[in-house]
Amino acid sequence: MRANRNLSEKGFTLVEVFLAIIIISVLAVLIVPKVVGQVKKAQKAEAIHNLGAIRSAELLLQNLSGKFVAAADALSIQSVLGLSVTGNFYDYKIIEASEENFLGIATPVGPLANWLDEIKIDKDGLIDFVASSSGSGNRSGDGSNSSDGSSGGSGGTLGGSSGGGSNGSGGGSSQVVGYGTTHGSVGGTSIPIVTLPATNLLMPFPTNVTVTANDGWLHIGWDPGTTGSSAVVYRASRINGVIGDFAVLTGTPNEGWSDETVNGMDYCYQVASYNQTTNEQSELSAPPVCGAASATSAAALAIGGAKSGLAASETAIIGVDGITSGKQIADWIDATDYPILYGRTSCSTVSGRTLCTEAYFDPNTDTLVLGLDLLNNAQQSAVVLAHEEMHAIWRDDYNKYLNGIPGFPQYGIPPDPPGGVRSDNSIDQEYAAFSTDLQVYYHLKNQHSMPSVSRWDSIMPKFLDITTGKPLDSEAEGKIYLRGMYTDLPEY
Amino acid sequence: MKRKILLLVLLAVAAVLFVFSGKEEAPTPQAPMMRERTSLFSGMPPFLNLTFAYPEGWKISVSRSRASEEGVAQMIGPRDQNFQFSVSFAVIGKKKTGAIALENEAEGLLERNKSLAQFKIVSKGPAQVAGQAARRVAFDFVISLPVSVPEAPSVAMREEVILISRGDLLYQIHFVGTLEQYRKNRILFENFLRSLRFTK
Repeated sequence: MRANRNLSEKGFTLVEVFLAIIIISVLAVLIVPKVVGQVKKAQKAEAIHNLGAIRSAELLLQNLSGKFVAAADALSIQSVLGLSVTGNFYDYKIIEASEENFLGIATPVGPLANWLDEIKIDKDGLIDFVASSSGSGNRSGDGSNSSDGSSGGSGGTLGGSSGGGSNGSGGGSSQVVGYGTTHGSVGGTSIPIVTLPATNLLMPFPTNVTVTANDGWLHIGWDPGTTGSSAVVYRASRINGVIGDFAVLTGTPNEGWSDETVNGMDYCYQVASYNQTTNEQSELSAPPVCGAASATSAAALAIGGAKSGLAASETAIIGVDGITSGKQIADWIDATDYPILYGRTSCSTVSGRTLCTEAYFDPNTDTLVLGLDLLNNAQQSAVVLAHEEMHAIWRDDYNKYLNGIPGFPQYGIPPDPPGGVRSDNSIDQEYAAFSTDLQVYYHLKNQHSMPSVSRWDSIMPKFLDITTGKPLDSEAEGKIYLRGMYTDLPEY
Repeated sequence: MKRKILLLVLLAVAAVLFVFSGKEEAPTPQAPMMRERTSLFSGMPPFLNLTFAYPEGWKISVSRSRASEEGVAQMIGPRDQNFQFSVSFAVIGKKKTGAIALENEAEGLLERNKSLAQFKIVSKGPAQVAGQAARRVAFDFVISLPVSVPEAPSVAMREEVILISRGDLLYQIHFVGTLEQYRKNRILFENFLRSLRFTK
């Protein structure tokens, strides 16, 4: 018995072998699909990248010539689009090209035909393609782009006939104009033609594009998508039903864009996220959102109301360089013809609520944009206007200093060290702006029956004596809060 | 046989673990929770005449006020991204205009702040800071944050202030943050207080 037992322990029994096979099988079932999936994903990435480049080039060419072009293979694509599509896993061709659309196809090469699927793209993006990882680049599900109710412009689809809108020199996709070279022009007369950057279809694209009609201006706002990365906006002028040229814009990437236009003329816009590091952009938002500037738009009328509200505050503002009263600020606005618009400002979700900032200054167009939340409230707009215009008055003063004009800056001279020069914006300037807007709020509330606004009431005791409406003797406690809010600003 | 089966099972488990966790980075060693690294502040502006240690990585801002004779050093800490507000410690040194009583100053400070929304005194009483007799008050209130958002939510805040009279200056030491920031940084603030040294 002992001899038999020893003999049996020298090798594997049948049960052991089966167990080992089962374990190896389970491991294989778990591991192989994962490895295969990664390989497939990498191979598909080649097709997605090249098809995106084909689409960008086709869109550009269509803008120039009014039609898309076909190409039988990579060589033809190189010839007609000036685009080199290279890769190991797919062949590329463009078929069914017309004035309206085209179909780009990536076909798996030879033995990969049973392994990879064919991938197709047209002018609107990938067809029946579902991203395997995040899925964020999928075109489906974005039906939220809309024309804002206040825009007063026309929505609708874009026409496809040939004709105007092109204003660049010559044709072809090889012309390159630097980003942000032109924007804010009137009537689409100085928009350069650009070579669009490569499209990364997996990059989230902006949504909720909103066009707000103002007097002589359109404001375009959007949600930047989930990347938080830089975004650019593309402008498409719409003349005689034809899309004009696209212009890449830079500047305030996540806030919006102010476009000076002709009243009564329709313009349409699409927006894309743009990664300045990789020179890639997302798909354009779709469909284009259109609007026409108007002197009688809701926003234009509301600006008038806000300025009147500000002019009603005639009580002296105390302790702010360059500011004497709300009325003085309103007069300054009229005297300088400083563009003030309403538009969709930067929004974020906090505790499930979408919150948008009250205003922002766009240095590219020198416009002040008040948030749409304020559109129907002239007095609250007036208070925000007081804050922002105080900044504008100091900014104007600072720019004169930068331009070498003697005697400037006049405002916000730092007390320590004596004779120093302030920055463009600072904690000191924010303190002055808060003091200005809270004093105007106090006057409007106490003298013009303005309803209470909890956010201003809540912070007021840190800046004003609430029994007199005058600034506190000490500015130190108010500034403690401002440094907590604006951590990046210099002191002066 | 049981040993072999056990060995095979262990090998299989090890293989599965290897495959599914092989690409994960090793966790970064965490610093001990209670260990605080500090930066030393010494003497600027001369107006304040004190030194202290504050948490490393916090931003410090030093200035003099425009309208009145006062100097401020403020240490700004982590930011609450939702409410866009950073917790901070601050030392304000105000030139005294005459004899003062700390208790009256503390009451005056509470009086100034009592019109804040939902103002509530949390504590007030005598204290000892940097070898000096002090008054210590704390109060809760509510403000709307982020401040530049019209529909901003109300946020519970806490502010703690310690008043010290020394030489010709009245010192106000502030600790300001959302209630959550306050709770997270209480120990740091106590350490900050312990590090305070007057140079004159």
